[in-house]
Amino acid sequence: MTVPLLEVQDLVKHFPVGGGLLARRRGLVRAVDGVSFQVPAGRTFGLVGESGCGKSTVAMLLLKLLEPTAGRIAFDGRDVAGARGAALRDFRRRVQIVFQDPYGSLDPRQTIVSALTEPLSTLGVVAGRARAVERARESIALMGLDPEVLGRLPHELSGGQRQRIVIARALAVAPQLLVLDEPTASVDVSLQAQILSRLEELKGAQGLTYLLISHNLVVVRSMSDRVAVMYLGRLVEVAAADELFTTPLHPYAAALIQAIPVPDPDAPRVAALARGDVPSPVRIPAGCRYHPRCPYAERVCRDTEPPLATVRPGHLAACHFPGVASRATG
Amino acid sequence: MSPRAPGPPVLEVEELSLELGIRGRWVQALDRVNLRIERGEALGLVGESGSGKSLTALSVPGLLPANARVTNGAIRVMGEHVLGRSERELASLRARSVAFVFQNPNTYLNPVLTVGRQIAEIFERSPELLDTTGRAAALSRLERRRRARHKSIEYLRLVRIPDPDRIVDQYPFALSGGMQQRVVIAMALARRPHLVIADEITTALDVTVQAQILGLLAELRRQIDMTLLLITHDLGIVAQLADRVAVMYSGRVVESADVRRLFRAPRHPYSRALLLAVPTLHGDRTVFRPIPGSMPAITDPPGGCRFHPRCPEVFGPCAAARPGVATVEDGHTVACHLYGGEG
Amino acid sequence: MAALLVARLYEVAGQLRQAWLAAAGGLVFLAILATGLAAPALIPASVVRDVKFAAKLAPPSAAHWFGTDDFGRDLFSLVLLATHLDLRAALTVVSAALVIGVGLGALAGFVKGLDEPLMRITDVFLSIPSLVLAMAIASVLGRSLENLSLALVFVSWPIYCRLMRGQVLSEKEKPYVRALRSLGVGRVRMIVRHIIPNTVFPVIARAPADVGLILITLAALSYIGFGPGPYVPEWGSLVAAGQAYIFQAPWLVLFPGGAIFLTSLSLNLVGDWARDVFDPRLRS
Repeated sequence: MTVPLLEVQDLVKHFPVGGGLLARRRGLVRAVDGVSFQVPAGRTFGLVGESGCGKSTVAMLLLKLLEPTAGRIAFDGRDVAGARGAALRDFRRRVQIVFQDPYGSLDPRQTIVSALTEPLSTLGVVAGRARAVERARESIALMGLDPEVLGRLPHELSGGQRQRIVIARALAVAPQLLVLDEPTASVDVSLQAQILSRLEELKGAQGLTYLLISHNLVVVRSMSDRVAVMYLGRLVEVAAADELFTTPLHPYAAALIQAIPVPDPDAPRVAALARGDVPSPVRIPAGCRYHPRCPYAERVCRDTEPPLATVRPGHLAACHFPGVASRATG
Repeated sequence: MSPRAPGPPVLEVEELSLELGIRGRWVQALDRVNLRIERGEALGLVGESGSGKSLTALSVPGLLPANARVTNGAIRVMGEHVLGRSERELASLRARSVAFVFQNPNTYLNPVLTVGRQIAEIFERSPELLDTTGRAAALSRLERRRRARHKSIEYLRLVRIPDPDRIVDQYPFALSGGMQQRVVIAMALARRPHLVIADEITTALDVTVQAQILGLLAELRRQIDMTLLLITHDLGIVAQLADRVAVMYSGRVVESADVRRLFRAPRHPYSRALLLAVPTLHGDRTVFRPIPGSMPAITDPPGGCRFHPRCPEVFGPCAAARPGVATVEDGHTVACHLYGGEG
Repeated sequence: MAALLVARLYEVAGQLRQAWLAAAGGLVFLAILATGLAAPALIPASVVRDVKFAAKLAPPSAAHWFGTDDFGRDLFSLVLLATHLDLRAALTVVSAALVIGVGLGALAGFVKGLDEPLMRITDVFLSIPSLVLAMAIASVLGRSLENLSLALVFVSWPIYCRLMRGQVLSEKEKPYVRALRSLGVGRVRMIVRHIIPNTVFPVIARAPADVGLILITLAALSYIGFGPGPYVPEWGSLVAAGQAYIFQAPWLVLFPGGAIFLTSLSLNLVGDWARDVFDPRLRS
């Protein structure tokens, strides 16, 4: 059995609220509160959740932009904690991220060619300026952009071009794992389809592994092999993509799926299965985190937090009554 | 669907053309836009960013930016002309007839007033809304305030805010995005407008909250026979809520039809491509069918039909001539050379 | 159509006017700078000691273009010599304060552990009125122009430090910084190649105006008797000395005062334009 490319075990990240030099800590934001999953090489793993669920924090932790409070992250079989110097550089070269805001992700004073060649030198990917520029040109072409954008500044380009440039930048260092954090959030539908199909092609051609983070279930389903649903810092369901979307076991996953308006006037109307608002990670409910919003909550849900357990082969859910939502709606 | 009440259409936009002043030049932003909404109807105005849907919506209550000028056409709300009115008349129009709900509720709400005060203000400014017997002016100030507060709670209940007696005294920052949006909808409805314009009102919300708001809008339509102009880029929302759909591309309405007809049998190549480009959740694993190219900048539009450089069915006249509007069926119009048409 | 044209014309005219003013200011300042550079070559330093009480307080004439001061010295020569010293002092003070302030401010903004201590230090400096602080330092070190300049550097750096720190703090949170970190950009490179170029310009844009402020502070110090004395030609001290004779010999105040005014004004015009050129473009 081969080692998964990425393995996350009991990852925890807590942020103190209030404090500073002399003030007392007032509380704790439990942004990531015990997350475990594995991503085999060559696959796409999707992570879905709404705002405040902690998925972006998971991305930051995976990229070592934040240090975990607890837990283990292993890349290619090796624990990444404490990586320094050359080992850290090697890690950064092999794991890349495309952030949500393509305009903000580029230094406004840097020309595109400079933005693309800088990481090639800081990560020791290519030696020499000429080779670096050549590589930059290749990456740009790979994303379907005209080489003339190389001489431009970010503010001179459109949103779609910028999004493709930050993807090209990440791909130029030839990573093994690419984390995509809401890659189509600020982009129109027609451009979304272009970018996603390109990413799909590149995955095979370049032997990439993707971790796709999004609140857009449709995008996640269309690209992922396996999907995890995150709520208030924990995973509440993990399954193969098709299985999750056809038979979700956790009521929250069912609510997310049912909430998507379908572009078909005769399709069933969206059902608002989740009551109330998305809560804040500062005040996490006792027992099952989802119980205040769950229409099927019972006594046990208020008292005990259900563990993420295997309900069917390859299909995990953290619920005392897995499958109740599917049974209710048929 | 309730039978259409008699009377003039709530909204009529006729051949509306608009130009924007950008970097010293006038560029065409809207090109003879035609829309019509009957009483109790919901029209979905669909388009991607840059299509002109927000501009069209903003022109109805006269909220256009300073660098915009209307070059042609008419807008009528309940039969009354809107264009060319003075700011004072428009303000009165906005107060009485047309309510506009924006995308970001927290920038719309006053942070230093409680939610109840903000709704009550509407009643205090238009006391006739409080008392239908016509003796509103005779009420004492205290009595007016009391009734206004009572009405505020009533409207909060209408938009399904839980525990309205408590929420009425809360400040906007204490409420979540979904609750804030409900408050803004309540404020819009408090005026008892003829038309509610909702511009991307769920785009900033989480999907489970969006589902709640969409459900609310559907219920409100049934309950108070609300007439709605819904602006969105999301075809799913349009399929959910709208009776009729108008698809916009680069300043033109390229297709306008009953919602079922549009989704079942779209005629315009852009409408077709748009429907195909949306990955859907039901059915098999999706294949991506992107539309090549991107929407042209309004400062540099292609000649003839603006969609022709990206159109899979482009032929002879497309690059040279602007397509006219053809009626393919009752209530179904298309602006494409494939169907002929004039105008 | 007319409305749009007029609005555009106003906009362009405004830009042109500002550019024209800035150009004029720039030319004036360059002229002053040239004078300052040439002065020591043209005018012997001995003029300062050229005391002739018989010729004192003479009005401007062919022999003495600016008249003479209360020691009978040629005011024109004094003002010219002062140009050299004043420009050197003011420009050095502002440059030094900028370099120190920007450097420390960048460190404070970027290195968490240094922020608190540096801010407490700037607090101390900022809580003492600048004049008092300068006086205190000058009284310890002595009242030469060099020591006064040093004192003024102490007085000026904290503001630049604060400004820079604020800019760096907010820049640091921007998404591109995070993105660059994931691309292997280390701390030093981040500060030098990315953060500083994106944050330093608004801070630098303040400097030209501060040159004028330094000149005025020097004058103030002379007024209260902390100036470099009558044998060091300095605009401020010339004004202070001439103030006693303002009704009999107004030229004693007018010419050196006018020099301060012209230098300040020309630099302010250039500074305004520079600030507008650098800031809004980044904002877009």
